[in-house]
Amino acid sequence: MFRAFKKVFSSTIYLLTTLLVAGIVYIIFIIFPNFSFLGSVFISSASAVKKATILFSLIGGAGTSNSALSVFIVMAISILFAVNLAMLVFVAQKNRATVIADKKKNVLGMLGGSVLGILGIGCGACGSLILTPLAISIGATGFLAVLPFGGSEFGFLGIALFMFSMYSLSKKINDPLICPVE
Amino acid sequence: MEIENKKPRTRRVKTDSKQNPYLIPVSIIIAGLFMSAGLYFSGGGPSAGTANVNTDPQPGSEPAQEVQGDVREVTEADHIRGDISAPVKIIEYVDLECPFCQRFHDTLSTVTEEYGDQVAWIYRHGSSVHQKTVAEGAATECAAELGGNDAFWAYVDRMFEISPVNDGFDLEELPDVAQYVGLNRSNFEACIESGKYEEYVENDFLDQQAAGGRGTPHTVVVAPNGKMFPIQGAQPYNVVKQTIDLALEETE
Repeated sequence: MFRAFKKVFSSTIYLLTTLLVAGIVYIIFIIFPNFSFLGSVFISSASAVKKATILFSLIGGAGTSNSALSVFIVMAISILFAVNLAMLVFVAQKNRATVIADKKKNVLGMLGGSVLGILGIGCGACGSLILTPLAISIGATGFLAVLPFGGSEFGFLGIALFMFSMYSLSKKINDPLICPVE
Repeated sequence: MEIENKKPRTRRVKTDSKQNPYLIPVSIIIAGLFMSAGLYFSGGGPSAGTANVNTDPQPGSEPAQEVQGDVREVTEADHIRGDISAPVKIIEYVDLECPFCQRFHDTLSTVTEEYGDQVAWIYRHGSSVHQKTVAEGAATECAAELGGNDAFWAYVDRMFEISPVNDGFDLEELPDVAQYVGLNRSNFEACIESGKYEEYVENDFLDQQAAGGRGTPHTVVVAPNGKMFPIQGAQPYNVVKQTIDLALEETE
């Protein structure tokens, strides 16, 4: 896998774009619970500077409004998402004709990882952002209460899915460009 | 010498006609996401929109302010720290077993002290995944019944001081807290045993959902003109302060 990383990230453009994408995904995940709050702030009569200050305070406040575990999951998912995307683009550029099936698999892997990651976001002790209201709606808060990490387990599953996707992509990157014999 | 005619080693190439083994599980997950997103954006499930409970002002109370959206109107019947006529109201949905509520309690205590009569802090019961939330919420209501608004807040403050949170608090100790804040123990125990406030607490949960609360703490900062700023989670002091400053400017 490291050989594949070296191939992809020896390019400065790939490296910088990956960092940028990871940062954007991290910010989206962190402010996700407060989209409606930000909406209220941005349609208020406050100056642009005040609005920006609130946005940055919100991003900086990730540590107080989330458990350490939750912040770790968000960071991991953001980085893995960006790395997967970079590897996927690299593979697609390497050989467009033969990777269609694998691309589909890896795109699905990325989607699954992101979705599970989102499910795992939220207060590790007070419930996942998405799962808690869902559980309350169907009267299944007991289910979340028995989970040792209160729903963060889904974040771990998301990380595992991303790792699998990365492993599969790295194999593709390391494969020589030949037409295999049937 | 006979040369063995070996077949060349082959590598099987996956074809598009093969069904992708990940398709079904991933589709389920994506469907789950859409379902969750639907619930999330519709305001928290089937009970959304039906949560305006106890909206009539209590006898003798003055409606303080009309607020937008589905948040229940603030009245004298609420548990308020500060002046009900304060220009900015901070409505907080709290679960006494939530560690983030415990942390945020300190933030709001600091904010209300700092802003004085400019803000009023309104406490409502919030729901998350904990199992002791209703029992403890009902206990705070018993404290309010027996000792008034001050006893209610003293009870909440004490709970956050001593509770290990995450369902770690022993419910047998609820009367000890009542005694600590100066309430009559036997009257408090009788109130708890009656179970009369459990439904009241659960009604607050509906209000929380209608207010867009998904987990605790959920806070709605209401500006003088009724504009609402719903804050999810135990945001740092800076965010709360900036939001109050913003709300104070929303006068028209």
